[in-house]
Amino acid sequence: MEATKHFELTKNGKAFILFGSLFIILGLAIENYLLVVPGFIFWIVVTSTFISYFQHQNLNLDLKLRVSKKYMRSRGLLAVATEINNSSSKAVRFKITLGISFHFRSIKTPETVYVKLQPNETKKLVWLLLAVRRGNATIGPAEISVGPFQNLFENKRILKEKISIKVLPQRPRVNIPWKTKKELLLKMVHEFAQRVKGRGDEFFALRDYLPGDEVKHIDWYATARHDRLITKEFEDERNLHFLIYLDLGGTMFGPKFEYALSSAVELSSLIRGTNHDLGVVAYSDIVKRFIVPQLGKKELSLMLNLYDLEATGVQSNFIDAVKFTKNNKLLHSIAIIFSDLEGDMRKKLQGLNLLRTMGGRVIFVNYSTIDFNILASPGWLLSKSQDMDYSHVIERVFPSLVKDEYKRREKELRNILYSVGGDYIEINGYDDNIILSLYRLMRKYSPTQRLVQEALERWN
Amino acid sequence: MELRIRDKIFEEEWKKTVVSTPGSSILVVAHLLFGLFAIAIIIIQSAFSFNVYIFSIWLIFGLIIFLTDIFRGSNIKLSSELGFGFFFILGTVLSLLLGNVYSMFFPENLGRIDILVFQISAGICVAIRFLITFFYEEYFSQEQEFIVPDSNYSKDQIDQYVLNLVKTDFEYKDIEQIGLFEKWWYILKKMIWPSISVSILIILAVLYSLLIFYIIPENAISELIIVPSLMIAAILYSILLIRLNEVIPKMQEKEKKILESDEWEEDLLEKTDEEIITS
Repeated sequence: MEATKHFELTKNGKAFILFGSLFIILGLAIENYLLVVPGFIFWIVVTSTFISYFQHQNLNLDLKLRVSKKYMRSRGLLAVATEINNSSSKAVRFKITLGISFHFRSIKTPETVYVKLQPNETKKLVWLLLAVRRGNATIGPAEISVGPFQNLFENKRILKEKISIKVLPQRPRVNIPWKTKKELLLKMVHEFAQRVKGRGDEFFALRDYLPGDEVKHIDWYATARHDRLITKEFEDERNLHFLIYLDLGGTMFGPKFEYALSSAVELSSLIRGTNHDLGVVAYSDIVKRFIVPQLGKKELSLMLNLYDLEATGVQSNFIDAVKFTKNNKLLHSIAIIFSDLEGDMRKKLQGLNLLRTMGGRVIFVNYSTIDFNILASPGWLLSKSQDMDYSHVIERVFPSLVKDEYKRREKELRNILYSVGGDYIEINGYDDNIILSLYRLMRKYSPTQRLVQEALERWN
Repeated sequence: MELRIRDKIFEEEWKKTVVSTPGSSILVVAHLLFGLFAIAIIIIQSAFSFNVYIFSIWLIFGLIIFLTDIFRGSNIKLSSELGFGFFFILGTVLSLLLGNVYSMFFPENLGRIDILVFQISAGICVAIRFLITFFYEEYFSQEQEFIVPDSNYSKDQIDQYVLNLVKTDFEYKDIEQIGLFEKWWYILKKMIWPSISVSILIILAVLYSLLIFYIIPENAISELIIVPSLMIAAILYSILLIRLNEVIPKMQEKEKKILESDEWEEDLLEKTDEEIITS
């Protein structure tokens, strides 16, 4: 993309031309040099901008903008190179400003620098940037301002090109060993997977041979015993069908939402490498997106698609999301709901009841507002890098729940979940991790122990 | 308020730094002082001429300007200078109405050298104040924000990254910026030609007035011709400047049209070539 030329006499410039003339005319009229002298200075200043414009009119500055990578993690570094070539025969001094979105901060050098270029010289300026926020960031446009008094007369070369960069959340600080993850999955399979016949390796049952069955599966001993053709049946590989419901509604906001999202990604990355199925339903008032991981090259795109999600700030509707899965016959063996206890609780409970009719297990993950409340400091919310919509959200959400009400809701939810045969996990702030919580849940997951626990709860 | 854990980690590792150009505070003080000097000169002159009205008017205006400057602090902007200009013109008009025979605002006093010195020195102070505003907004106002690694971890992170960039297109070097003196020199150099052109204009006007003075040695007639001629020159000059602004975009459009027409011809040529090939 070529840099476009931009000239403009600004409002200030026009005002100062008029001011200068007014000063001179008035000063001459009343014979007072008090006004005439500043008037002449105004003229000199404005004239110098015009003269420098004519001097730099044929100035050719070639500008190129490049970045070192298109995908990166938050708190990662990015190098941006601008190559400027002065093809004219004059040395130029100019100001160059690199436009960067709020996702980045410049390291060591400011975004605006003053540089000198000799004739026929090419200079490469490299900025180091640190990514500080997740999201779709942009680098550009780059602006070069030539000549003095830019606030009166803008003489610019603008490279309007915008390079988009995807900034993913930072690497999790807690590394969970693969062994734990594997154990968690095995336990889940053991508890939740149904035994289904199919084309696996494990033996399932014997039955009569039917035309069309494979000959190699005939059990000759059994055939000899019963005097008719009998074939072996095999158990299907025991797959779990995970369905993750991710709440994008108004009550999930700011750091809480970010954490829920990264938990969803963490969980899906755990499931991604295995033979289990996964679907992610992201919903607010309607189902915003339904993501199914693809095999092969597109496997990675699931993660990237997930990071495109943004909190919507609208009241969410869980029933709608469940209806969507029911209508599309998305059967699941485990449904994991990433949500909270804020907002309209009735819809969530009704949704859970509807989920029960579909079969399978339900795990409700509550991102407790009380803990994330402290973490969402007003400083974080009001800094200019933030989307201001959040501040409207927080006004509505924060005073909503007192602690007693919160406990009441939790109890209500637990009751329904236990009747459905589901489980409840609470994430209290950043110290909790979804995988570890699930692991803890599965370890104590045995029917007898749960009965004891429930009894103890009733006792208390 | 408690910080997010991640924000806390961030603040431990990186230090936000705001660097303002050296000498900006001196410029702010100078800006304030030159405004006050201009008004002080007028006040002193009005004290010499025993004019209480002008004295009190400029004292009040001086106080207002001083207070607004103090409250504005280092936030000097061109648009806010318009307020200063407004007060100055208002004060001049008021003291014109109230001026006595010894005052610097009395039209008949132009011949006196001491009055001329007072007027020109006050005018120069105002001009310097405006120039300082221009310079400040150009080079000093922009507070340059960036972050600097604070912990060993972040320093290592940068070192490793920069090492990896060696021998790539993104090899990192500190950007050599122009020094402050060079910036000043640049802006002053740019004002040499304009000041020459404006001074030529003034000299021409003075020569013209002298010519008329020698041809018609009567004061009344010469004044009727000299002052209006200068005023007309002023009006013409400002019209010229604003006209230039209208002409420039048209010139650009013409350039674009010429460029586009060239492309057209090329397209046509390509098309004809294709036709020849296909046929």
